[in-house]
Amino acid sequence: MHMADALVAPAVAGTMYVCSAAAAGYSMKKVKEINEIKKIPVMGVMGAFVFAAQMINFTIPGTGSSGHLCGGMLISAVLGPYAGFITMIGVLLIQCLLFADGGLLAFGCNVWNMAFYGCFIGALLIWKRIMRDGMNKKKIVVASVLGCVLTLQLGAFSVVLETTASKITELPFTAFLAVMQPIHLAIGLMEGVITALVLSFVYEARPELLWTGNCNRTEKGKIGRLTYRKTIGMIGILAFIIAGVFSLYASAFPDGLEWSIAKMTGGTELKSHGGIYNLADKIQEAFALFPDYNFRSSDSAAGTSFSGIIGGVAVIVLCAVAGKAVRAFRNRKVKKDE
Amino acid sequence: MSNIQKTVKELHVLDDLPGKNTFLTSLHPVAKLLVTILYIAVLVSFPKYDLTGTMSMAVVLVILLNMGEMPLRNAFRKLRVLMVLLLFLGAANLFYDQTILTQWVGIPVTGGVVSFLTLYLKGVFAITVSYVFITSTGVEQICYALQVFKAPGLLITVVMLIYRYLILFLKEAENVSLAYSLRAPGQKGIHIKAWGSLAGALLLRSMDRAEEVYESMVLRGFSGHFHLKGRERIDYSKSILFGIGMAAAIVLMRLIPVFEWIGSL
Repeated sequence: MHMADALVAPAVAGTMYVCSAAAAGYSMKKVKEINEIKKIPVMGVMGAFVFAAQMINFTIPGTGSSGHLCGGMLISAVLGPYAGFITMIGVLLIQCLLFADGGLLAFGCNVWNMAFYGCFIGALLIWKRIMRDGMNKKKIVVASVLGCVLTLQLGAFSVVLETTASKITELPFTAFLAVMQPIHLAIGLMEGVITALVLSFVYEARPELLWTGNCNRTEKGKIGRLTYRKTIGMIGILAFIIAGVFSLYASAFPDGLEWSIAKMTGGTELKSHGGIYNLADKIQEAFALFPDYNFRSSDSAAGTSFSGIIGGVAVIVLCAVAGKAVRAFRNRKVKKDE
Repeated sequence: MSNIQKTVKELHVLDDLPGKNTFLTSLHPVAKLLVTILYIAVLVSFPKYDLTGTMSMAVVLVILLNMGEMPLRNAFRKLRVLMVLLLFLGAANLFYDQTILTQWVGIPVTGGVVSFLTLYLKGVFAITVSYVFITSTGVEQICYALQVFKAPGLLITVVMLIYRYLILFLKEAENVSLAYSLRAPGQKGIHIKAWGSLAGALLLRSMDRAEEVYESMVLRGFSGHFHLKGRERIDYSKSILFGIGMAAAIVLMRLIPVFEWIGSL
């Protein structure tokens, strides 16, 4: 689900950086509040563990394919959502830098799609709620599977939204969604089962290692508004809404804002008149760097001429040859000096 | 060679490359980071039909590759996964965008073809420039650059720790997989019966190791974060010149249709 740089427009990338940075800032604050230095090496080691464990292939019975662990959910179940989120950022950064899994510009999107949902929705909304009356193996399995499925569905939905908002692909929103959601439902189920089995093993061997959200020791009288059954029901309905209903509405109304404007003005864009608007338009036209966002026409055929392409190839070859020549000359000089 | 072994080998290569004595390795990591981010941001900002504009970014990339004297083989290996993803998303453009934009040697070219090629080039260039950046800088120096930008110390420490222990844990996972495959010859991957215990045991061992790591770090005076230093031989004047020069070249390529102009000569 890692998004590459080519799939996001700068404005979308910037927005997602801001969202992810806000979640990271909040997590930092929470981790600092605990002020437990001991947790820092554990975060590093757990990050490396998730990385390594994801390289192990778990054979899916009856099929030729294999699956792997769901990192966000597993890390959060051990470290808690806040430390888990920071660790996942570290894992994603290493993946981005060393393995080209996701780009530097799309890093904010990837943190949001893969770490935020796994740690905040998976751990805070699902794991913590389900474990609030105490932990057992059945609850671990339910929380892991539900957490992985829901967070992967949300992640896949975000990928579709971000790519569509970036206007990168001509693939219709609903068609893209129809491909992404079912694939990630299957992946989520698989990852959920693997994560559940690993966490169940840890629960059997060393239950104190698992994060409880400080809720499993609550007295019966202090149970909050949401019970175990209510939580499961609520999450089930949420998953259904996201998977089905949203996509139907999305096909009918591609953009809520445009729809609202169209209702009010009869067109999807607001027209502006007057000197100040014209002046602003001219300034924008001259300095806009990111024309995909209506700063300049992105549908013009400029930049597609055959002569331009031939000229370009010639320049690239020339640059490459010049670079080789400079390098050869430099090596010769070094050898002479020696 | 298994996937894990290949990854370990790749990590060793990436670890060694920043130690090479090239023009790029002598520069300040902040200058390289800023140039890389500017390059990617400008690259993805090209309109979907601006093929020659996107192509013009190759000039800057070729200059960077020559400055770094980097082997391209590894970069192309990394592109394989991306190629499949871009093929899926880009192929849709071929079918959904049938507008005839231009003609190349008499053959009509649709908007879908042009946007597909532009998308592909953007993907390839973005990965390659990131590869040049990482192979000329290294994770430790990147963390140093993040520290200069006032990134949270906790995050930097976690990244450094993950990087330090990555190879160790990969080797551990390799040992576990190898031991399992020796006991279950001919079986692809790990059977469902062993999923929980195998990865679970690895997790427990990792937690024990984390305890040991913490104790040894405390004994060495660890107080919550690492104190990173820049490389000893950083050429500051060259770094400033590099930053300004490359930024100017990137912006120039974005604002002036250089290839169109050369092609029309």
